[in-house]
Amino acid sequence: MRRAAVAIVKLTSCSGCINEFLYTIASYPELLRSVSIVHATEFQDLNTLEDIDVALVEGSVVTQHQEELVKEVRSRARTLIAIGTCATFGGIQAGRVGEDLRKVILASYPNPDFISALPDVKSLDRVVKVDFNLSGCPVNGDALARLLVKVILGGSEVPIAESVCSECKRVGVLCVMVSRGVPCLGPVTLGGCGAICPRFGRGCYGCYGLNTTVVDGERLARFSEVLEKVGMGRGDLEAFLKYFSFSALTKIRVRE
Amino acid sequence: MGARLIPKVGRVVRVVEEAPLVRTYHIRVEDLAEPQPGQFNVLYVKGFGEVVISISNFRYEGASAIAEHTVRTVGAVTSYIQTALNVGSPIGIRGPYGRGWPLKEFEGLDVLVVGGGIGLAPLRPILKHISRYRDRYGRLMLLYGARRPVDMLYKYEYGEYRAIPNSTMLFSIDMPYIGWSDYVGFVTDLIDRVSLDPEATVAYVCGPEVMMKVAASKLVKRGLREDRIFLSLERRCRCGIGVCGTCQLGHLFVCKDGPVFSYQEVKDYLAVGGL
Amino acid sequence: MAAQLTKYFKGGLGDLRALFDAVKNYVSVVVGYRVSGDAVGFGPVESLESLPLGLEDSQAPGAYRLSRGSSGFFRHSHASPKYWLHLPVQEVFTVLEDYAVDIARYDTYSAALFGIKPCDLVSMEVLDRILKNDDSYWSRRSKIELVVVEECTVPGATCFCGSIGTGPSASTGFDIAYARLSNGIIFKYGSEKGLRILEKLELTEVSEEDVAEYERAIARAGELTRYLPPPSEISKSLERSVSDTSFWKEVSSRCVGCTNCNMVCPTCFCTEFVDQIEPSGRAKRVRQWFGCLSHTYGQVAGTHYRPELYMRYRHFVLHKFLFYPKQVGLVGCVGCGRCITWCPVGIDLREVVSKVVSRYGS
Repeated sequence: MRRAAVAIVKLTSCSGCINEFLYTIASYPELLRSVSIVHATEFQDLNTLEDIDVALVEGSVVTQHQEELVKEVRSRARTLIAIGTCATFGGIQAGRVGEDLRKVILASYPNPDFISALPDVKSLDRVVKVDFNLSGCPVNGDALARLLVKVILGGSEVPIAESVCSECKRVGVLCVMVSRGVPCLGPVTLGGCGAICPRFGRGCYGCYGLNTTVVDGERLARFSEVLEKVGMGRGDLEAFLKYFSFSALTKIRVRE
Repeated sequence: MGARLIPKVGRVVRVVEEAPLVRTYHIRVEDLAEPQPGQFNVLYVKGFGEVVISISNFRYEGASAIAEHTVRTVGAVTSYIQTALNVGSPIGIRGPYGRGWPLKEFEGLDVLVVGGGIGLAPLRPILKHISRYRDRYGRLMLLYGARRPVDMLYKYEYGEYRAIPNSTMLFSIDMPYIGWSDYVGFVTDLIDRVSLDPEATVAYVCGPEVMMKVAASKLVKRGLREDRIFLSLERRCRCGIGVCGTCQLGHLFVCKDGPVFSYQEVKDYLAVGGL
Repeated sequence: MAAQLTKYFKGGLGDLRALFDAVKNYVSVVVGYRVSGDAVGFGPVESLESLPLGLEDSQAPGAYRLSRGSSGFFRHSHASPKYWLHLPVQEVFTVLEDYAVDIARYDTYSAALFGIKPCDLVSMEVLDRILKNDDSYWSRRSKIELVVVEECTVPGATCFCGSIGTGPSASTGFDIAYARLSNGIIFKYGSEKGLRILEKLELTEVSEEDVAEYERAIARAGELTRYLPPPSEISKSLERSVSDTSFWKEVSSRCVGCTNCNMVCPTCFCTEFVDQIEPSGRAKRVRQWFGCLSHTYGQVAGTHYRPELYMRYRHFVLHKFLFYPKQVGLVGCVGCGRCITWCPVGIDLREVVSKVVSRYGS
């Protein structure tokens, strides 16, 4: 059987999801029997975007060049998978949206003249048609491997939309918020991480993104009152939502 | 352990193109019990999961069973079936499950069969049953509608259905189509075009839920008894044996109490959205 | 009266230890509320020290705290016998490269449940009936050879078993029950097997005052947990409320669909299947708890039968009080209050049910 041509494309992001993909290959070396990596500027020299079966795109779109690149990738790829929360929701860099872009650039780069960023930070689905969104910061490598196998076989997957709490309770982790008063975004956040943070006694900060299948602006506003009672101020909540759920915030009604 | 949820492995022995995105798979498998008309099997495709599909025909060939399943591409599992399964492909299968159409109870009555689109699949065994035991039933009326002529199932069998003595067949499509001389409109409109003896008719209906609701209320207006109108319902069925809980409609488990219900049993539930 | 008295025995903490040891000798594994770290789960218990006897829980809508103290009284945690009998995550089978089906097998041991609560006991009866076709559940359930119940003389703030009639004392379905009182522990038996075990311990006869004190304690606890009208009144009211969309939207307006109520409910049994295909070509089918409050519940390819959250919340409530009685002849809510305590936004089922009854009651 011909190996599937997989392109790994990086936009604005930390490369953590691409690292996760490499760990995945290390855990499932047999994946290389069915996959050939035709593009991955992060870890190989010979790259082509000619004929792609599956494009794994990490990162969000913050420049004109990236917008053109991702459109080109889309036109050449049979299947496009957005991997990681930057690609699916915008990511941490969305924290700068609404700030003075020049100031942000000056604060970040020694030679700001080379930077031509757009004021907005876009998740992939705001630029191109995305076939599968796999969020997570970083993406869950096992979930990525399984989806990739399904896609290579010509199939697809309909994810079960659940909160982090479902995962917490199934593994029997004590609820950090109810039992210790630790602020936790788990109830409004998409599961998929296996409840990593609550397993270590920490509250979820929402890195898989807001569970918009249930949570609208009204419910979010009411939930923010609960968080406030246990010590998470509106400012912190807004920051977490901006970092990990930016594109969702434009889709839901947020009560002032 | 968990033996009830373990599929038997069968093989696809024939694939029939029915309509765009619809195919009938003939699956050969050992040791499968004979189903009642209206029952379903659960098909499993490796790595992609299970899907509940009605049994549209069934026969034994020696020791092995041949179950026919008409599958339309709508979700992840059905798409993969269409993409990857051909003659010779292995496929998991378990069943038969559920409560089928009550036929024996209504011998002697006229039979009205109303189908919409893919909904003809679970009704097909009724037509086969009546054709086989023709003298046990009164008139047979089949009303079948689809979106377009090309979407109609089992076209190769219509001659066989027409040949059933003392039967009427009416067809409809949703939109006008070149070469179509039968009715254009909803299949439920056809109910107005048949003469019914309300005291002596049983109706078996399957199609989209709105269509079934319209059909049932029309039939009630025509004087049919609510406990003689039967609908085959769809819900999120997973296990098929009433343990996973996801198919509940009110207090009913669609997989084990249904999928066939009398209109009387479910009309209050169907009247409330999202129950 | 004399016949009544033989039902009871009296003892102290030492006798509870002796009972635990006797039960431990009877089966391969004793299962119950188990202290692990700062939490109380549900699983195999090695010794009496692993039971939460020295812990006190305080519960309120959306709040749970554990504290230590010798006089503490423990009700329950997020966990329940469901964690042992109806596994949260379990492999169903693996399909190998050549399509051979490798059925997952589990070792099951004869087990005793020790220290479960009267509400837990009823929840098992509900699960027994609703999961009667579930051979995975029964592979574990049928191995429960002995049930020891701890009755609740000091109910918690979210408990309402007295309303449903599922507590604070145990009536049937157990072998031995005990109640901790200020001046000792009262033991009673619910089966011949239980009696035989109790007779081997060095327990004393109870006096009429002991019995009277026990009955007063149970009656007091019953009063404290009687918040709601009788279940038949609740179900009638619910039946009338079904099509009141705005009511159900209002009572579920704070819900975020997180499914904590489903997961902690000792009678919520729904499961979903997850198919994991590995790059090797093997595929695993996993079955796991699934909550009706999650969006996916009711979704099928091409449509959704419960697209809005209020519909799923309504199903949760209707199922407990209206549909369970029709399905299995028992109220599905056992009044444990877990869904109230573990709801992160503190939605109080008692309030919702009271509202339904005040609006739609006769």
